[in-house]
Amino acid sequence: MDNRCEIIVPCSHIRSLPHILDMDVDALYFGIRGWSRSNRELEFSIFDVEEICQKGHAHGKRVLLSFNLMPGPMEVEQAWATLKKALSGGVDGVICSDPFLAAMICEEFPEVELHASLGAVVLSLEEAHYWGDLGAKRVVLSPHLTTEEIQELAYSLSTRGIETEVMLFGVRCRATLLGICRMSSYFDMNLENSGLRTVIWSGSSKRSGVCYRSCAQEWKETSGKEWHWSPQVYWDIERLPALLQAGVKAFKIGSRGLSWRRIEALVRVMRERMKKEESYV
Amino acid sequence: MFELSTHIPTWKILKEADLSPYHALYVGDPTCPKVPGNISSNLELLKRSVDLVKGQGKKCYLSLYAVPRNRDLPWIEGLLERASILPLDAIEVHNLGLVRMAERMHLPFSIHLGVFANLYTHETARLLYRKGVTRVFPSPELSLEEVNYIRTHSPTKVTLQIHGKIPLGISEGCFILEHREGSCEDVCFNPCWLTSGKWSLKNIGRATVSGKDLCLLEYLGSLYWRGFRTFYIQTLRESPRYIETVGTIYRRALEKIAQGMDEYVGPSDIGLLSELSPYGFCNGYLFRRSGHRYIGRLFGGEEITPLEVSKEERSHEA
Repeated sequence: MDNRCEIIVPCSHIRSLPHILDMDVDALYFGIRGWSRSNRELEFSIFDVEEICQKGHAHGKRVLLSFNLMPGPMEVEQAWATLKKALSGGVDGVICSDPFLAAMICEEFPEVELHASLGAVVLSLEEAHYWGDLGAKRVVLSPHLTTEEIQELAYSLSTRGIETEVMLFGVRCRATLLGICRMSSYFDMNLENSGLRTVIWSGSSKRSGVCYRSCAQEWKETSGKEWHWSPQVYWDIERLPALLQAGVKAFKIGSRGLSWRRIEALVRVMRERMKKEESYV
Repeated sequence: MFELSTHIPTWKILKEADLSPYHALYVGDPTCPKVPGNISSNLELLKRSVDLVKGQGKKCYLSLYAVPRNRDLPWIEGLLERASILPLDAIEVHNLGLVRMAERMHLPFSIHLGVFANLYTHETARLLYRKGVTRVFPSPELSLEEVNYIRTHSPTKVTLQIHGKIPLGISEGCFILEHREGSCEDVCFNPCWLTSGKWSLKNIGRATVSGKDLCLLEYLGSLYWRGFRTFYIQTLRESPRYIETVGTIYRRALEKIAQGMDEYVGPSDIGLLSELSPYGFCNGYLFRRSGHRYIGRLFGGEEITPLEVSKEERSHEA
């Protein structure tokens, strides 16, 4: 069994691609305009997909497409057409949270790996198996799970051939579970034009990827007591050894807005820590 | 003709509130299994509740915990196994894992997909229909056109929330316990109102709902004649008076609408509803606006300005 664990990093701009390709990482992920949980300026044109894949593969990296927004019912056709076009560019896997699109990918592109995204909110074995039944090769586990819970899931899922992935660096919401939140769009949502995807619901993290962090406002009870709900940036490097032992297959760096220098620094720490666990190198 | 439903979390509320306006009840609180007296965490309470609800000639749906972790799966499976002999009409699940569990167990009930399940498209509804899901509660972030599209393009029924606070999120821990002294019994039924400037929210423990009440009373006729028939009023952590009053107003309005009457908003309805909603009203996302706004002529609602309309049209044309 291949025990090597992947390090996956975000790529948010064509200018940072050469730096990402030089890093000691196994895979990179990116989004195409209008369809990933990211600001629009951190996404690529669909016409860049082929180039990213070619360059990535030439450097021995796997290339993953983050396509993890939820289309509206009238956008399904457009989402699928866009996705098909992107898949023909040579991506190795798609990170997705819409069950219908996930099922379509597995049916029509069986050679492409399906990863259930953080947005799929996988908290239990039963949910992971739901995605496995759809054809997902990997599930990205919720950052709200404890180390023990991740260990339990990783052990159990590996026996069913489903890989697990954990985001070691990212933003952990506090007011709600990541992936089940409408607080931002409740207070502020704007319809915006987003290139090919004409109307995007900015403010909805599920529909546009852009969250206005309403939870980070100063919230007070009627008694005047303050509630601190701000999302927290986390760096779970201390969990890495236990998660490696449990058989977690990949570690990801989240936050598409990170500079490549910051990503590089995080990768260095992760790789060093992984090297200490000799059997996984 | 139509169905009006709500959630009844506990045996106490089931006994205390006059539920005559409702055709169907979701028994149990999906936001937290530790809610004292939660019907969906206790088989004995569930049996008594089902008897009571069915005895009143209503449909009874069991509402399961919305965000189960691994540790919750055994007790939920056990509950479902024992509940399978009860005359329940459906179970409500809020995540795809429990859809799978229900299918795996070959339960004799149909499945309703709840509001926390993030359903956005008719295609996903179709996919889930094949797993036994017969009714879906689309994400509240969808517009009226989109919800209607799901209704008309999938074999599942679509639940439409017409009144009550909008479920905005659910967390892993209880914020009320974190911020107040005492046990679940002491604090659970005293939700926290939170404000930030003009904004308001209500935290009911693990879940956070809107401060304003979604109110579609003045649009009810239009919704009915579009074809919506499955209506829901969100009343978690509301008083029996709220549950009764809001239910009565909407039931009466819907009956008038079904008879073809135009004037279905009674003179006292606005006052009564306003009294029960200290932070005011909103339409949710149905009119493609931020959820907290109220567009309309009643309840001091804002009109859509010509500027906004043209801005939006331009965005579509582009």
